[in-house]
Amino acid sequence: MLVVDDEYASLEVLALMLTGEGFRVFTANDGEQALQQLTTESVAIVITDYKMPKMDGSELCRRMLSDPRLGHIPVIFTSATYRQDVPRPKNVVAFFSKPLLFKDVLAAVHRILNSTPSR
Amino acid sequence: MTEIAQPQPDRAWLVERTKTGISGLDALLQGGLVRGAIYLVMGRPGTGKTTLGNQLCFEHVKLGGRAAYMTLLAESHAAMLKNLHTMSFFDETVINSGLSYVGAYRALRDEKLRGLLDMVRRVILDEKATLLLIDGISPARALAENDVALKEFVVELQMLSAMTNCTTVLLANMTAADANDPEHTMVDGLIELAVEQFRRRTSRTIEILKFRGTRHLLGRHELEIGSDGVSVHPRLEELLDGSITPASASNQRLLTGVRELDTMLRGGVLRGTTSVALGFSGSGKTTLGMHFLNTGAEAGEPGLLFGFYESPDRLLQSSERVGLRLREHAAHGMFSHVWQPSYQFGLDRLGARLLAEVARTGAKRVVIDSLDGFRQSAIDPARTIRFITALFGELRAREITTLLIDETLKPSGPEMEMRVEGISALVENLFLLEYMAVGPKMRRLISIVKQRASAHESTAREFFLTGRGIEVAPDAASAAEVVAHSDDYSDRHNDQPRSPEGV
Repeated sequence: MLVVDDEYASLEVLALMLTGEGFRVFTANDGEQALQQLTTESVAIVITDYKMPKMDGSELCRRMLSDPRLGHIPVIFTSATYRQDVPRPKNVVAFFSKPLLFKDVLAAVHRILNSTPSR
Repeated sequence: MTEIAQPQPDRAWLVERTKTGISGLDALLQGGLVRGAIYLVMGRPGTGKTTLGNQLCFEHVKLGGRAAYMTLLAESHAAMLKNLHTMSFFDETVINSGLSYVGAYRALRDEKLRGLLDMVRRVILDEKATLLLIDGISPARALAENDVALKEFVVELQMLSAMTNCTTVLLANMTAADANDPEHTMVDGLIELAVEQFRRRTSRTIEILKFRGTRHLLGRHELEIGSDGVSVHPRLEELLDGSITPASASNQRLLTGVRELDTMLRGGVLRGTTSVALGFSGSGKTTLGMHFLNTGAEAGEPGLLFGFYESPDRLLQSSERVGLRLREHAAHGMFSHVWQPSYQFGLDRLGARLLAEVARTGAKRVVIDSLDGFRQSAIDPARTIRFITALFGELRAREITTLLIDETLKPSGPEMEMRVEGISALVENLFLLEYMAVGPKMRRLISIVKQRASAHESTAREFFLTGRGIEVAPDAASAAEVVAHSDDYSDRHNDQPRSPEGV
């Protein structure tokens, strides 16, 4: 699992909590770092913030969709400012506004993993 | 791809309160703590942090939540519980069944702040805690590599609380003087407990120094620790500020029970107004108050005497001596007497006690004997008038007709005028009870200094304390004689006042 966020505590705590649930978790501070991680690590889900410096969540999704090795990876969007009426990239399967409730995120992760054929 | 989770309502702007269940604290916090937020409760040892922390947990469980009490380097859980078990909030049955006690020092010592944070995560999730207390945050500070690491820890703890929707309260042995420490700046709320001394009186206080994003009552408020644990008495003027809805003005007149005084008032005082009876000790003020309550009870209006001096039995004996039936009215629930020594309670506790008793008894008439009792209860005497203003506002809003007794240090003279100036703006009606020496005799005069928005007799009348209570002369003739023949005021201005005649 890859967690992407430029906000220190959001990134650290979500990673800590997912690790506590038994997931292998990688972290990145922006879209650019996330793309680098995705090229080297095998990731089942990306949980990314929407608004980030260098490369935001939308651009990260677009780049993933344009890469045949990454286009199939489901993405969860998180944001404190994202407008829900803005069209979302098609690889975004869930959206949560911040502050996140971990139980909701965890439930979405389990649903995604249960509905995604293993590759 | 298929959408797995529908967009959920935006949580970002939701402020959900969680009641503490602690008397007065929810009023101070204007509804309770914010769910998922992080608070620091600080104070020196002995200020009540541990009692407050445990009580928060027990009350939280009672209200349907789940709580965890985590200690670092603090007294043992057994010793702590032993000290608390006599308090009424303590409930042994919820321990390990809704409330868990967890020691976390080893995790902190062995794995530093990261280990403690992971321990907090596990406790919140395993215990399904909706309230977490961390008692003794000082070791975390001592084991932090530097201030930045401590800040990171507090921010992560804050995020963890928000993500799990678990309200977190840190207890720390520190004061507002340390307010630049990282934990002070990062938390959502800061609460300080203190013990203060003022004129040899010791008082516990609580102050909300910071409470992000929500309203709360400012300033220091009285805190009490008793057999029910912690209770908070918010400053009345802050508590009622903006919440008082004035009752519609009534034209109904209520008899005071002193026949000729009611004539002087053109039929009595207006319902819902406040009057002051101002006079020297023994001038008949309390007797006037007894008339007022006795007459009310006979007219079907329950009355309350809120007093500081005469004990209930002594007061009933006094009323019987002047033919008033307060004992009988008390037996029928039409008269009640709340009595307390003035040194026993702080100002706000007295205010809360008075208003609660008014609500309990359904009192329509209240006599407060006397303003001096409130003055002596005040840690900060300058507050007394603001407090009384708020109290009277609330009593008026409840359409209660009030008589306040205020005692002067001399039987007549300039002090009367000063007192009148000080209190006149607070009340609708002001009665002056004076006595003056005429030869070897002390003679009493009553006058109506003011009756707001209403005509009244402007001359004084002589009155007598008899076996039937207060009897006012039918006209002003004898009062004129008293004034004309009384000893020169300036002669006795500096003398000790003489005792009056009569009851």
